[in-house]
Amino acid sequence: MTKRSMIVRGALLALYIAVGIWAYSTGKGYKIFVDNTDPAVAGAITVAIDGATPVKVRLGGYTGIMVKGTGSHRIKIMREGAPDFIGEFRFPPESTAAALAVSGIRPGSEIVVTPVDPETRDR
Amino acid sequence: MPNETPLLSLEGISKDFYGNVVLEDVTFSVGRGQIVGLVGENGAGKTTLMRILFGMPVIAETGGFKGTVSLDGKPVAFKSPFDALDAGIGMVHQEFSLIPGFTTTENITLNRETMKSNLACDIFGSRMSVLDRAAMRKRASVAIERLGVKLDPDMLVSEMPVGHKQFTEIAREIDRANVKLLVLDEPTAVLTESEAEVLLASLRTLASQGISIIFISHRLHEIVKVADRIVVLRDGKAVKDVPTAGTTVHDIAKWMVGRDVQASVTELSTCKENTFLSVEHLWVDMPGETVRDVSFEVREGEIFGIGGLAGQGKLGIANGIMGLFPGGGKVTVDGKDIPLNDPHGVLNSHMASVSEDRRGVGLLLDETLEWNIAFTAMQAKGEYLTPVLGGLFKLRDEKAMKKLAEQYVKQLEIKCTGTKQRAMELSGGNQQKICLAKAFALNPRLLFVSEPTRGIDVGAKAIVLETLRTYNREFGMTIVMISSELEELRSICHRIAIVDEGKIAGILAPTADIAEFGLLMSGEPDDKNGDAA
Amino acid sequence: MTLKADKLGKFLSDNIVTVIFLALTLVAIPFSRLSGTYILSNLIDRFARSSFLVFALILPIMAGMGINFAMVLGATAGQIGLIFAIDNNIMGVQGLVYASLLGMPISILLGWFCGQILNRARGREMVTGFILGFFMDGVYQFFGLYVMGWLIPIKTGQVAQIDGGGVRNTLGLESVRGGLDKIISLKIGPFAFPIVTFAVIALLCVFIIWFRKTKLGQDMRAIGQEQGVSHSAGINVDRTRILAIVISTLLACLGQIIYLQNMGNMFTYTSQRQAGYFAAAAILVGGATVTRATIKNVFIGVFLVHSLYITMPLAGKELFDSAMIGQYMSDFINFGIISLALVLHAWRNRRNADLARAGLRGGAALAAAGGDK
Ligand SMILES: Nc1ncnc2c1ncn2[C@@H]1O[C@H](COP(=O)(O)OP(=O)(O)OP(=O)(O)O)[C@@H](O)[C@H]1O
Ligand SMILES: [Mg+2]
Repeated sequence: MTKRSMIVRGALLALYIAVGIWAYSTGKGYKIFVDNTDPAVAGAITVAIDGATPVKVRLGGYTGIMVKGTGSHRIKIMREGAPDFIGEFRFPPESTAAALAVSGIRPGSEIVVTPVDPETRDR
Repeated sequence: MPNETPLLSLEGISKDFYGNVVLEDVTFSVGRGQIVGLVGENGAGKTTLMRILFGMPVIAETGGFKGTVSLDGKPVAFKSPFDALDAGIGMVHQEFSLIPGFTTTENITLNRETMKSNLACDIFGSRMSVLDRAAMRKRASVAIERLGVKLDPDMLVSEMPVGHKQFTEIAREIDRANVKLLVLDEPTAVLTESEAEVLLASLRTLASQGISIIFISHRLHEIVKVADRIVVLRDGKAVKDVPTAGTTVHDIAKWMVGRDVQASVTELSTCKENTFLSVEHLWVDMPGETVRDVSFEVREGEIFGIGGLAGQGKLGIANGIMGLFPGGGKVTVDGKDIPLNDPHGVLNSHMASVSEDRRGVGLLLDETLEWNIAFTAMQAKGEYLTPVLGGLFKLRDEKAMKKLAEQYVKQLEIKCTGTKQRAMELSGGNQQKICLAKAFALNPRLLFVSEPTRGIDVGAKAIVLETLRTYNREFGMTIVMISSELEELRSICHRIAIVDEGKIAGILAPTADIAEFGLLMSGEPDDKNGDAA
Repeated sequence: MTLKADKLGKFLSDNIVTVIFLALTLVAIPFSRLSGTYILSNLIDRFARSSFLVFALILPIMAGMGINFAMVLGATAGQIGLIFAIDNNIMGVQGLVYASLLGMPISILLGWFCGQILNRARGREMVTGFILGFFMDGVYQFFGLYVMGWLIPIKTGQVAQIDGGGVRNTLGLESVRGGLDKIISLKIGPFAFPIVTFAVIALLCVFIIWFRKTKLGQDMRAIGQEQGVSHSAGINVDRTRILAIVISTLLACLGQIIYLQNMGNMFTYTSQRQAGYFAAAAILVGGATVTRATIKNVFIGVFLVHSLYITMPLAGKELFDSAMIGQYMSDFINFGIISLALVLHAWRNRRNADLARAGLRGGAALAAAGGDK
């Protein structure tokens, strides 16, 4: 085997691994639980993350939405008779699921997400 | 050039197959650009010697050989044919080794294609290179030009006449960059005389370009015409090594056999008046030997010859009547209709045939001689089977089979270690004799023989022809003999039909002028007056 | 005139399988009462779904090994990749890439193993490949039902069987569904074109065309015709045959992943088998024989078989008034086509020989009829 072909093969192997790491890290799905528990909010809300199909959450209820990757995500919250809320959040590192309480959301403020255990939460 | 080291020298080559000595202390050399004619009787060891030279695996498998092979003065030991090829030795085998669906170019450059490499080669190796077809075509054209023949580089092998296939094979060998020595083992056996002529001319051309050639043939006049030196093998020993100048065909034949050969001339039998075989509007679909519309009649006890150039359909006639290839028309033997397309039905009607293709359908190569000779008789007529338990089973009658085989081994002078030897281990010519014995064992009333002397040496030729005559005279056997060798037909037949383009061009007496035969064969006036005696 | 009729006859007999299925489809369309738009938009979708799979069969046919029924092994490898992608919750196109990266080495390994076996079963490659597929089913079930969950823990509830042992029989692929198709989906009128999937298929075509021009491609053609001659010319016949199978298996792996991302769910233990039957049926309907196959055959076959899949169940329902008919239709079509194509293949070979023979009868036939000059 020539040196050149060794280099090319090495590069190919590196590429293979790199693509694998890329696929894993950017493709991994995480679950975000959106709780509609704010007593100030009277009524159902509709939530859409990263432009996915909006989901309706009734008062006192919650929904689990899968998002792809740990990067920043856009969330849009719509409710009757109020302007739409649009904000961004990051997923807490080292966790596979997190909860987002709508009660904590004020226009302009940071969105707080707290890690949760998906198995106990998802019942 | 006596001081120059010869290109190839063989020194003291000996070889035995499990104690059966086939080569003994053979020594000769081949100079640069020299053509050496290698001749010898069937089983003299010619093919074996070339197999040793070429590093064929059979040799090592059967215990190797003694002696040294040197190339350019340096001893070499080839482990496989590929080593021999790398060293610049090319071998043209008797069976064609071409790929039918590939063009001339693709075959000439087979597995040595010109390629352009690319990135994929660095990853997966050189087989990912793309073929450079233009360059391949150019190389093929160069090789064809060196041969001095006309071949279409883009023609498919499956559509080529036999001669062109042979040239394609030779072109493939000389396309190798380093080819120094070419070995041709009976290359002309399948060629017509005019094709053979062209082949000989191109061998001379190659020799003049400095390529050395070892040429094996049983057609001695070819040897005399083309070789610079002649090496004669007899019973595994190189008995003569002489320059061609001043040597005659007769001398060579004498050295080969070790005694004086004379054509024994027996009177022809007189045949009866009644028609024994009649063929009407026969057509046969045999690839390369198509029969279109053939009608003729053969009288009882007659030896009827069928001649003509290769590819014109003479071989198809016998194969069609024997039901080996699909065909149609009307064939009657002794007044009874013969079913066509039915090889088994035919065997029951007292007919037998000897195929021209001894390796294909002729022999069971893995079986013993006894078995080969008695096999068809056993199948067709239940002979050589002894009933056991009141006929419930039948066992092979081993004793009778052995006796039969021994009789033919003696009669046809088959060279073998015993009747238990496997057919595969016989030389080409001796295999041909087994095919004949097999047909005789059937004791048929009508016998078709196709190319009975192809690949058979001069001495044995006379024996085979004499045997045919004996069976004809003593048992009244009617024989239809198909051969490309006109002389042979004229020496034995009562009448000779010439086939041209799948039809009978005419029927002549053997005493007719040779020019008349030539005329019929070519379908046009021809001024070639046969070869000088 | 007769010459023209003869030519037509020869064309029909050479393409008899294709012609029969074209006729069947043309009959089934009106009975199905489906609109042209519906059929066409479905065809576009299904074309993107399954043509990649069918390409997997071209190389082994070229190398003289017939239809590679052992491509099922490759499809299995693709499914194993997908199981892991789903279990690790890798979504979208990344999930597909992840599945491919896992599936490819497995398929190469399986292809190599399969090639070894087929080399020991020369002349009976097709039936051996078929049986190998069944054998692989056993191994795969062992892997899916016991190894998974026991040696390799299953992380996601969705993947595991309800009672806990091994991988579910039906696996939802929602997280990767349309992962390739939906990257760019071009809408023209009522039709949606999955551009990226089409690009991948186009790339594969280019690869096949290029591959035929390579040394390895030439060697495959050579061994496909004459193994003995190729061997004595120094071509490593065994290795070339193994490579043909390995590439075929690899393509089947990728093809199955593309197929399943379009479907959106997977019958864990039977989907691979369906893939194999479908691909064989499609390439045969497209006019390929067990000795010759081209890209054109793939495209024609995929279109025809799917046209029949779309229309037949409804036409059957209409004609026989039974919804069950539709249920059995696709299996029936697959197996029917494969057997029919193989039988017709034998018949066609005979007919061609007969035709060639008739051509040379010429003079004899005339003379027999008394028309000799
Ligand atoms: N594989 C083998 N095993 C045993 N004996 C063999 C084998 N091959 C050849 N022989 C014997 O070696 C002898 C020489 O055979 P070889 O083929 O070299 O003859 P030849 O000169 O080429 O004859 P021909 O003109 O008939 O081709 C024969 O007697 C043959 O029986
Ligand atoms: Mg010989």
